[in-house]
Amino acid sequence: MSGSPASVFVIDDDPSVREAIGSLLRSVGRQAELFGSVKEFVSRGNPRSPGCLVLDVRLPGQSGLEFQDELARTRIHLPVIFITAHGDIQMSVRAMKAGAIEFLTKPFRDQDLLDAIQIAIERDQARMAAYAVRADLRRRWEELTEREREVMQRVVSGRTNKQIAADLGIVEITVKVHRGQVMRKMGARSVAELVRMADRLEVAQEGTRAILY
Amino acid sequence: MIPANRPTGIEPLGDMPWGTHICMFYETRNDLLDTLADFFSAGLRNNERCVWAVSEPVTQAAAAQILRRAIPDFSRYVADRAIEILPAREWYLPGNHFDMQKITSGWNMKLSAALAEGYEGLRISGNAFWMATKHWAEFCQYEEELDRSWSGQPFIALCTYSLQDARAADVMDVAKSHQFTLARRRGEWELFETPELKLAKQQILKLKNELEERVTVRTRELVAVNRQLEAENAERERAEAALEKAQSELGRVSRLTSLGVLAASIAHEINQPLTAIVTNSEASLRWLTKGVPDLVEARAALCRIAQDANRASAVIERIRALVTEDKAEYGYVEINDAIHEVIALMRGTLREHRTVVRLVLEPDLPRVVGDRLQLQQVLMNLITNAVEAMTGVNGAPEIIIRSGSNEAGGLLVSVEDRGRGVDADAADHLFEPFVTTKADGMGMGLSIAQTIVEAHGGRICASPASPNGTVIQFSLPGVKGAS
Repeated sequence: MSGSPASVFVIDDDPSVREAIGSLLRSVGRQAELFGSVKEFVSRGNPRSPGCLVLDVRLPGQSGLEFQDELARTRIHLPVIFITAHGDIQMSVRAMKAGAIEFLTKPFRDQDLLDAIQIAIERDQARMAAYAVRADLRRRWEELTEREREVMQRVVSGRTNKQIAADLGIVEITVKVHRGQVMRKMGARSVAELVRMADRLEVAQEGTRAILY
Repeated sequence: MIPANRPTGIEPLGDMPWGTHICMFYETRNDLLDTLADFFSAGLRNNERCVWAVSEPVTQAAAAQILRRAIPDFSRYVADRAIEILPAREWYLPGNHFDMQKITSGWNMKLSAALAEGYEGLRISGNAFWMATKHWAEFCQYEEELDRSWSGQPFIALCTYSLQDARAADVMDVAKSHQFTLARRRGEWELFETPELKLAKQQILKLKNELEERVTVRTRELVAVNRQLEAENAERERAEAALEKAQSELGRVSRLTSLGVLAASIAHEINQPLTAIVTNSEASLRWLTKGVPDLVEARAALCRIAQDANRASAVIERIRALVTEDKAEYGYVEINDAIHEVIALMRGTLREHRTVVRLVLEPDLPRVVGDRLQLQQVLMNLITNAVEAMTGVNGAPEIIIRSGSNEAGGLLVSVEDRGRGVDADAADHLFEPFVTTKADGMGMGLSIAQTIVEAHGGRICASPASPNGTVIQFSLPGVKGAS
């Protein structure tokens, strides 16, 4: 497996099924953590590494479907794969609508579970990567001075140095210095890249952009 | 009613009972002879000894001739001494002397002799020739005495009087001392009755009518009662048949209901080990086909396969045992084991209702003798009820199953839920068939449970749980010296 070690969290109250899945995952080199109930899993704490949940729908105490709803409300964004002994269409539709990766009926083919886990983990890795990029950008944005942010907003909105100088009531050479600082601090190699970063940060000035047209 | 069993041979009288004492007034000689011929003919035909005390206007020879003409086998009767023709004067007045006592005993001796010879009784006739004689008063007294003493004896007597010789006073005397008074005038009969007889007859008729009326009424009542009884009987038989049918239906439906509830459990209970087996076998294949095969992991997975296969087959065994409608098989039952098995069987249902079961089982309980399956049926019914009692109730559904012992060395098992509970009114009827607090319940689970518990010599009762819900507890007698 490539990238950071991903964990598969298996929640099933039947120890036989739990251990079988655990063995299967280990045999393909997946890191698996096994839980007998939702409560056990929750008390473990929020995982830092990418991963996914393999969840029995009809768990005692709190059902898998209810738990899925709860996960969506909290900051835990783990992709969910449902396994069930006797699922019905209604249940699977509800699970898939709520964002489940897969809805497998017991007994399932090992490859189906492994494929679903693969997809789920890739999705989580992508999600985590995107999250990491956004967090980095946010940190850089926060390192900019107030004047630099004003300049960046105008640059990404397509204003010329001259226009920006006029907007802010400063001389054009000062605008150029700020602009160089913004490019360096944000780590942008081109204006186009800076525009994309601004998009992600959602910091472009709608008002000023409109002036272009 | 008067028992009429002797044919008199006298047309207007017909059949009369023994003891009948008749007097007849005749006008002509033929009237007398015709009557007597019929009278004796009837007697001879019916195995009676006949005695005719003859006097004027008839002679013994004339009497015999008349009878011979009228009765076909007369000679044989004479030869058999079935008939005797006496001269009346000699019989009644030997030596011109009237002795009432002697005449009466004479008749009695003749009766005894007749009975001894196999005759059924004595039929006599005498012609009262002496109306104008000095013995008339004595004779009248004799007739009265005869009338009294012969009642009920096998005698029939016909006394004949000449109308021509009789004075009005004589007729009155005669009529008074006989039960029946007849007159025959030139072949025509006339019948007189004594006032006593008339009264008696009326009385008897009245009584008879009353009796018949009562019999009719009573019969009608009896018929009605009988009809009612028959109807009730039929109704009872119908009810019994219905009851029997309902009871067998009850058992069957209860079993089916349990099985229906089980169906989901069965699917789940088989599916779980099956899933584990499939996944384990695939995992072990992967362990074995790795670049460096991991035999330890593969072995572990294979061991789990064996365990799960056994678990699946145990489930099938239990289900088969439950489905088989065997007769009760009594043996030692470890109740805690039985409880564990039922919980295992019902895991599907419990999961579906997200019900958590808390077991508070005391170790080293007294053993009980019983039918394990039946006791498990009880547990299953109680758990099913508990699960259903908590649907739609706020809070986590939880069932607490306790086992323990009582002072009597018996076993106590209770199933407690956190449902709405039942009020005291309903609790009284909880164990009756078809009583249910559930919208879609059939009201049989607890009834069946009670039947089984009581068949095991135990008791079952319901009480409110704290803070809410219901506890159903049953006791079973323990086995002495076995634990």
